[in-house]
Amino acid sequence: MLSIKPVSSLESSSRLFEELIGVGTLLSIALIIGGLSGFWALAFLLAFSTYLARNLFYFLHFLNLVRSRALEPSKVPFGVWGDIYDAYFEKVFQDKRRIKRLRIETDQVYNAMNLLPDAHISLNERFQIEWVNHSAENLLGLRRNDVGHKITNLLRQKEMVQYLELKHFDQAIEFYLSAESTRRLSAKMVSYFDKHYLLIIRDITDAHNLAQVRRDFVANASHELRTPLTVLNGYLELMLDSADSLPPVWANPVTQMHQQSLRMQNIINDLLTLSNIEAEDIELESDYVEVASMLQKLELEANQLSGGKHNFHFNIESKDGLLGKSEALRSVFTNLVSNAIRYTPNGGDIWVRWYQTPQTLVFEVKDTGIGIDREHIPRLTERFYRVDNARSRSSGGTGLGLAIVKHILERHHAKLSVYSRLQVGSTFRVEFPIALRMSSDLVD
Amino acid sequence: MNRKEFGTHVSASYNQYLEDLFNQILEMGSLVERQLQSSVLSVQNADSDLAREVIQLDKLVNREEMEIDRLCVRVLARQQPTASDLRLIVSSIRIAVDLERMGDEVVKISRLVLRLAQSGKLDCQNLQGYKQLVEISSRAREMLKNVLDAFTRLDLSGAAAVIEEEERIDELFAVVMEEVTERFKETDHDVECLLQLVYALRAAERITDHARNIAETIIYLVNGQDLRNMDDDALAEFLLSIQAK
Repeated sequence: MLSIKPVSSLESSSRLFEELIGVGTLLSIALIIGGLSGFWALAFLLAFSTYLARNLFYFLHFLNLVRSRALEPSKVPFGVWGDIYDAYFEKVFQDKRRIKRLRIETDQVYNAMNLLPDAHISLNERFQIEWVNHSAENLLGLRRNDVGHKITNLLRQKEMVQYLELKHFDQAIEFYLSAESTRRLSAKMVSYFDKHYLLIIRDITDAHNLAQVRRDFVANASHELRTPLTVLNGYLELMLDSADSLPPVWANPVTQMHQQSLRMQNIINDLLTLSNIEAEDIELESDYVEVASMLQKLELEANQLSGGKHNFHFNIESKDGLLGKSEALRSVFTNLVSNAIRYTPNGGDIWVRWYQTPQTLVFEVKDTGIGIDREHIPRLTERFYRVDNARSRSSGGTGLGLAIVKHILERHHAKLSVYSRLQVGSTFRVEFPIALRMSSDLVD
Repeated sequence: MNRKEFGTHVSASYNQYLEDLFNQILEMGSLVERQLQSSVLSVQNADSDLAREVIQLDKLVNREEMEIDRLCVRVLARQQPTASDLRLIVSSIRIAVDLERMGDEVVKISRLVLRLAQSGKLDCQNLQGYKQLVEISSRAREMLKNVLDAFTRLDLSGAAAVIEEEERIDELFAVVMEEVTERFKETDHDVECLLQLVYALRAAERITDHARNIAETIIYLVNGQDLRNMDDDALAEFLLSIQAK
């Protein structure tokens, strides 16, 4: 940083002294001339006007200097004017250095902006372009002299226009630059520096294609696997039906083969369900879901599944249902309850609650099971994620249950939260927004 | 005219009015652009739902034209514009009319899709000329995009490029029409299909004409020069001169 030196103060300077010497000299000359010629008044007047003329000359000279902003250091005059000139030159020099430094810093920022791989466009509060970086020129075809135009005059995509109208800047939008372009772009608006916006646009074609390829692959592969598996399964069932004709050595292997092929079928079905959910449009057609009666049925099923080894406490506190997809929601509830059964040791308790808070409708499953370690909780909804490989495989399940739950809940704008402590138990809570509430008397 | 001139008036509301007007034209332009875009897609995929959407959009376009007229009248009545401001008003009215007509022509193209879907004659798509319809309308879409960009930037060379492109499309259109007329002579072709196709081709060609009109208006707006009724040689020379700049 450049430190600003104080303007040399008059006290510490010898210039005032110089000035006094000058005035003294002038007076002595006047005295000498007066003494020699006898015209005292005239001599003093001459000295005074010389002094005045000098001051006036330097006053005009200084004024010119300031006005012309000329910087060639002229010879500093004698006396107090020297101080004024010194101070002025010092100041101008400092300003010049500061401007140079600021210019270098600005250039540095601009150069850095130009090197960024994503398009950056700075907008003012009326969404007029302030500057664009190189990537914006290459990616979007903007030009450096587009400054001052409203951004939607140049990026006229429907998504962009809507984005700026709705001003939901916490979300990003995706769009194609033009109809024939295959480049998928993602744009996000960030507000910065007091009423300015930075529009960041990046090319997400690769990521977008990759996600699409993955979805297609999973959907196709599971579909293709289903056919051979059905054949295998059919023959295995046939063999089991006529178990008497099988050599006794094969009885056990065939039973196990049948079990495993059924498990594989479940996995494939779950994968297909998942890819169906993913492929569905965001806004699904919803109908009235009567949660209370669904849970009553679920209680019976749960008792069957557990075989009387667990104590169930179903508390249906709200009679209200939901606006949603009933099949999908049923699988959410079933999945959560069957998980609780699977991971709770015999004799444990399982509480299922359906209740309402001012903002949400809540479905909650609480158990006294083995619990989940904290580090696993964020990853629970990943596909095939296993907390403990050995145990999970033995207890059956496809490893896709919670992934399906997550996707269905996303479609319903609901939130899943998990609270758990090892050896104490877990709570799975699903919170539906109150906007989805639908009571039975509203239906007809 | 230079874009920065909006900021030069003493009256802030005057600046604002002109800016609003400018933005409004581009808003209308982007609507027509979207309409044309959907129309090209609907022709390509014989998608009648999309074609219906295009026809719906036309109502919005018509409303935008009235809005632009209202804004022009507001400036004329309150500020008595002169020079480049007056040229902006005159150009705005002209461009709005061209855009509105474009919207109507786009609707005509979409009607083709609907008619073909209704009559169930999907083999019409294999007709000679259908492919060229897609080509002409895609190029029309590109021209509209370029002409709107040129208007935003008040870019003379962009406008000149659009005028040249329109001349190429005229030649293409003549060739296509000849081919389609040949088909009329063969009796095994469905005459009704061909007739619809001719209408749609004509509409697509008209869209490029309107894009050219807008390009001419931009040149008028920037330079004050009127290109209408200029003879071919003079026009070519003029276009060269502004592109060289």
